[in-house]
Parts: sequence; structure tokens; C-alpha cells
Amino acid sequence: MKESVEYLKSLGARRVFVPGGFGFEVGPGLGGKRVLVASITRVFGDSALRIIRPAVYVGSDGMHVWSGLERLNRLLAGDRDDPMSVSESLALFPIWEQFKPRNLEIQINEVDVLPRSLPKEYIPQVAQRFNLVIEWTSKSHPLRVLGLPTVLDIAEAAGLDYTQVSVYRAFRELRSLLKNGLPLLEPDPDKPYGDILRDVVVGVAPMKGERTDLVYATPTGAEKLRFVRRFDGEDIRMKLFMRDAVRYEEYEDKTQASREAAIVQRRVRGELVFSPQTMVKLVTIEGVKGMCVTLNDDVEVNGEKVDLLVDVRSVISKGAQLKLEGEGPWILRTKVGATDHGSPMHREQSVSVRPEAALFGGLIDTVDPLEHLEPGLLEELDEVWRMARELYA
Amino acid sequence: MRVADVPLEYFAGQHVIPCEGSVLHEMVTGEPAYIWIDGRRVTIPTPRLPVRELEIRGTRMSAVLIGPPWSLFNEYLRTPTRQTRARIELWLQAAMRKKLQRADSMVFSGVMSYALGTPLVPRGEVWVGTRGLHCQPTEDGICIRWPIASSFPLRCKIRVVPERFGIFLNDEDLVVEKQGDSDGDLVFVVWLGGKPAEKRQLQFALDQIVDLEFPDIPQEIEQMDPQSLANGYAAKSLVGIATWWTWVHARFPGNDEAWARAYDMYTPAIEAMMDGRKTGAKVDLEDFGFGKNLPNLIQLINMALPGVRFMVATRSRTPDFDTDWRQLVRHYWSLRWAPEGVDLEDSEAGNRQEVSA
Repeated sequence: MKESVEYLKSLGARRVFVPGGFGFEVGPGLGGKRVLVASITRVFGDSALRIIRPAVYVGSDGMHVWSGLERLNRLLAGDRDDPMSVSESLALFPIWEQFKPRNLEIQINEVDVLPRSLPKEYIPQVAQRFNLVIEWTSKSHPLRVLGLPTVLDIAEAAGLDYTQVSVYRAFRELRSLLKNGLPLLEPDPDKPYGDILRDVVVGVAPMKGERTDLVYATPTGAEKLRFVRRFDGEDIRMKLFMRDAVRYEEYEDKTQASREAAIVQRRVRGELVFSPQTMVKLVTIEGVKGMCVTLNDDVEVNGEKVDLLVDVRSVISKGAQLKLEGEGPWILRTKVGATDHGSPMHREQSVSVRPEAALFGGLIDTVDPLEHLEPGLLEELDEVWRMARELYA
Repeated sequence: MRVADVPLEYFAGQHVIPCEGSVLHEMVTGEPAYIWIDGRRVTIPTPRLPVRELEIRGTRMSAVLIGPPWSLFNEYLRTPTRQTRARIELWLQAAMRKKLQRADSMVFSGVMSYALGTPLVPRGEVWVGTRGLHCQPTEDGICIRWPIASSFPLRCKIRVVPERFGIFLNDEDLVVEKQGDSDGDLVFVVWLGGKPAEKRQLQFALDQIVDLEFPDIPQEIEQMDPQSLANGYAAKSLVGIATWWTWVHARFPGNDEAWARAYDMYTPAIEAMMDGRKTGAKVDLEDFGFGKNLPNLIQLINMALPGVRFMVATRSRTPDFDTDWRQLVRHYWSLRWAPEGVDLEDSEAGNRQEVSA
């Protein structure tokens, strides 16, 4: 917590009064209405710091701008006439639950647009009125969040020449990359965003078959592009991944369930290396992205050793072809980072399918549901039906 | 066999018996136990012995959670009254509803990971990178892209690649059949049976992946104006609604072809949405037939609730124990089931009676 507060202060955060907790206002804000980063146990149920962005609320009486603190106060005041739900009022995701070094720095330059039910067709008007960057938005929930004009400085500092790419694609991907970018194993502190981005030389050539966006790393590139992801989980699941761990420690988690009994769980936490050898999702600052696998040998393009090799169609589809050098095969000089793809979570799983999915997945009429019910459920159902017959017959 | 009265610990709402030296522990692993209730012999369900590491009065030990109904039967043994019998009956009715609700999903053994499309994998095969996994896939399976929208499931032969992560499949299978790519798309592979999946090696070499025909590349950058961008995002946001409508159509009018017709509407609608995301075109679901030729729409509103949960839980009664529960479940999965209270055509009346029989 102390580390987080120091970090906030380095971003120019100012302490503000928050009922039942503590908080900071930070970021450029919209017309002086800034982001709130706060720890309020009575609202969130734990003491983790969470971010509450300022919001533009489009109501029947026009557009209003609320700071993060004002959004929180509206919630705490419990105005029953307020049409907003709790989830609309607050960004509920705790920050720093995983180590994504630039997550907060990106979010303090953003604004929410409310209510969520606002038809997306009206959002360009909101952006125009407040001079917001509409292309800087969430990938999973587009136009729920827009960028403040300061995001243009961020894009430039990261190295993106946004006059040479299609912005609506590049900004969306760049936001995701910077916000969720994993730290490099060997960061370069002298370069902007050198903790999550690395300069690379990419060889670009047409590939056989369909465009799948797969990215190939040469042995040199694979060495440069190693990232770190923190993990914390039950040891029985995590042990399979330990050979990719940089460091880890085992510990016992004891939950006091009642006065007399406690559940003890063996857990392990540490840091895993994500690299092309273990599979990693790479994204360039222009938004050229793909899962990465390793090539056997080093590759030279036009006499220059390259770190990565991508399909030219992947570059064109992202509108980044003006950055290519040469006549083909081409060179693309750019920066690349990795976003979390959760590979330590991959495991054998029970895939649960409901009738809708069976319909769309083509399983209906091809498999008998009784053969694929939850293990043991058949016996349990038989048992309760039999008991009922014995008891009532 | 008699049910012994043994001292119980109480833990998180359930009865707990330390395993070590417990009389009950031996009993439950032996022959089935029964109990006389009002002159009827009722077999006590065999507990599945969920053993947990617990700390009880400062000592850490293995203990077995027995919970209801064992504790209910123990109670009846001590005081065989009408109230204790009523409690067993209540538990039984709730158990019938709850367990039937759990039948609203099928469970497959499988793995979900990232799709890696490459011509090095033959068409119709899926190679599962099993590094970091403890699993024994079999040869016959199905590979489905997630989310399922606009994708076609692939009946596949499964192979394993022990030293790699991810799921490798043929590029055409991924891009053409599944409309996916390898930029983070998830696929799940479930195995349905057959021989154990064979092992394969996968090495990428330059001459296997690069095509020597170099194309002309466009010299202009396509930009999109903010309004088209917003319209495109609005089109994509309809995916959830289209999926819900498809489900509704699949359930009505409750005949064998309904689901196939609904699926035929769904696929082009999703494709139009995906195109709209890039072109900015708006999509009207009615153009694809959604919401048309349906009975009373007010009665459909509750149908957003998934599964047997709706079939059973919203009925105020417990299913009749004379009905074969297998029939209830199969009927539900056949998508021929429709909710109570909706007037179906005469031709569907037979189906409806079958459900509520």
C-alpha cells in the first residue's frame, strides 16, 4: 500500500477527503474533474485501491461532467431517484491485483460515458462537445470509455506516428497494450515506456496459406522478448508451470472458518516468464498483433537480422503499410509489447455446454446429453428419485 | 445395518467427522445403509466422502464432511417424529429440483486455449500443445471457437504436441470455417472418445511458412469517420441480443426444425455485424427475421432464464417422482420443450404433454 501511495504521488496525486476511507485525485481530468483513486472498505468490501474515472453523463437535461469523487459521493448519498446502478457509478476493478506497470497511468487519461444504455450513435456528439478522442476506447466494451486529449501525447511518447496508420485501429490496440502491458524481464529504463515496450526489427513477407496473424520470433527476438507475469494460486495447479518461473515461494493460506476449525491451503506465488518459447501474445504499437511462436533459425531480411517475422497481410489489415521499408520482403521498425493471455490458467477443464451452445456448436442431436452430464450427477439423480419412491410409494 | 450414533463436529453449516478411528468412516465405505421411516425401509444415500484438511480444536487432521442427508437421518434415529420426517421430505424435494437443474449443462473433458493457425497441421486435425497440462486426450473430438458466434464446429482428429502451449489447427479450418485468426482467439477442444491421441512434433522453418510471391501493397491508409465508427460499434453490440433472439426462436414454436431455422437466421446476422464493425453499417435484426412469427411476446420475456432452471424452478411444484428424469432431461435438450402457459399449435400438444407427464 505504501508503495502504491508513493507511486500515486509521483504522478502528481492530491489527497482528498473520502468518507470511510482515503483517496487521491490524479490526472489531467476533464475541465478540472479528475480521476479518484480510493480505498473504501465499506463500499468495496476490501481495502484495495480502486480507480473511479470522471464521467460524462448524458441525461434528459443535457450533458454533465462528474469527477470521480462526485460519482462516489452520489453513490454514498444513496439517492433513490438516481437512475444509475452501482456498477455504472464506479469502476469496480481493483488496480494492482496483477503487476501491469502502466495501467493506472493510462486510465487517469480517460473518461467514462454514461449511462451505459446510451445508444452508441450519439457518442460522437459527446466526443465533439468535450474534445475527447473517440478512437481511444475499450476493445471489449467500445465507446464506454473515451480518451482525454492527453492520450495523443501518450501515443507520441510511445512512438506511434498516428499520421501514418489508421487511428481507429491503432489507438484501440495501443490503449490495450499500454494499459495491460506486461513488464519486460530486462527493461530499458532510458526509453519511454521502456519497461513494457522493446524496439524490434520486424521482417515482413507474404506467408503461405490463409492470413492467421501468427507472429514468428527468431532465436534473437525470442531472447529479447521475455516478459514477466505475477501469479498466485494453489500449488497443485501451479506446479506444472514452475519450470517457467523466475522466482516463487510456497506458503500456507489458513482461513479461519469458525472458532474451532480452519481450512489450510498450500499455495505458491511468484513470477512466470512469458516468451515466444512459452507462447506470448505480442502487439506492436501500430496494432499488428498475434500469438507468437519460435522459428528454428535466425533470419536476415535485406541483409539485416530481424527479431520477428510477420505476414504482410497482417500489416496491411491494420493499416500500417506506410511504415514498411523496402520493396519486399520489407522491414518494419517498431516497438512491441505483450499483453496477458493467461497461459498459466490453461489446464484440462470440464467444458460446460448449455443447450444454446449445443445448438450453435453443432452438438445438438449428435451427442446424448445423458452421457455428458456432470460426473456423478446421473447416480445422484437416480438416488434421489429412488429415495422419493421408497418414501412416498 | 444400523446407523451408529457418533459424535459429530459442526463446520461451516455441515456435520464433520474426523476420519481417524471413526466408526462411521468404516461404515460408509461398506455396504449400503438403510433406515426405517414409518414402517418403510429407506436407503440412505452413500456419501461421496469429501475429505478435507481441517484444523479442529488446534489439531490439523483429515476429516470427512457428511452434511445432509446423513445428519437428517441421524436426527431421525434419535427422535423419530413427524417433524424430523417432514425435514427429510423437504430436503428430498429440494434435492430433486436442484439436481435436475444441474442437468441444464453437458460436461465434456477438454481444454481451452489459444488458436494457432498454420498450414503445417493437416485439415481436419487439431494438435493440442500439452505442455503444462495433465490430460489424456483421445483421438475423436470437436473443436469450437469461442465465442461461438459465426463459427462452425470442427469434427476433428486430435493429436498432441507435448512441448508446446496452445492449440494448433489448419489455417483454412481456422480462417475460413471458423472465421478466426491467431491474434488471441480462444478455441476449446473436447474429446469424445476413441484411441489415445497420437504424439506429433511441430517445428517452424522459414521455407515452410514464407511464400515467394510478393504482392503490391496499397499506398493509402483507410480511415473511418467517428460517426461510422460509432455505428459499427453499435452494430457489434447487437451480438448478445441476436444470440438471445436465436434462443427464443429455437424454442418456438417448439418443433424439430425450429432450432435449425433459428440458426439459419443467426449466422448471416452475425456476419453482417462483423462487417458493420469495419464498414460502419448499421444492422437491423428484423431484416434477418428475428422477432417475427412468434406467439405472445410477453410470455417470452422470462425465457431469457437459462436451462432446466426455468423448466423446474419456476414451476411451483417438484417434478413427479413417477416421471423418468431421463425423459425430462432429454426432452429439454432436444429443444422441443416450451414453457408452461404458452398456447402451442395442436401439433405441438403431444410434446407438451410428454414433458408434464
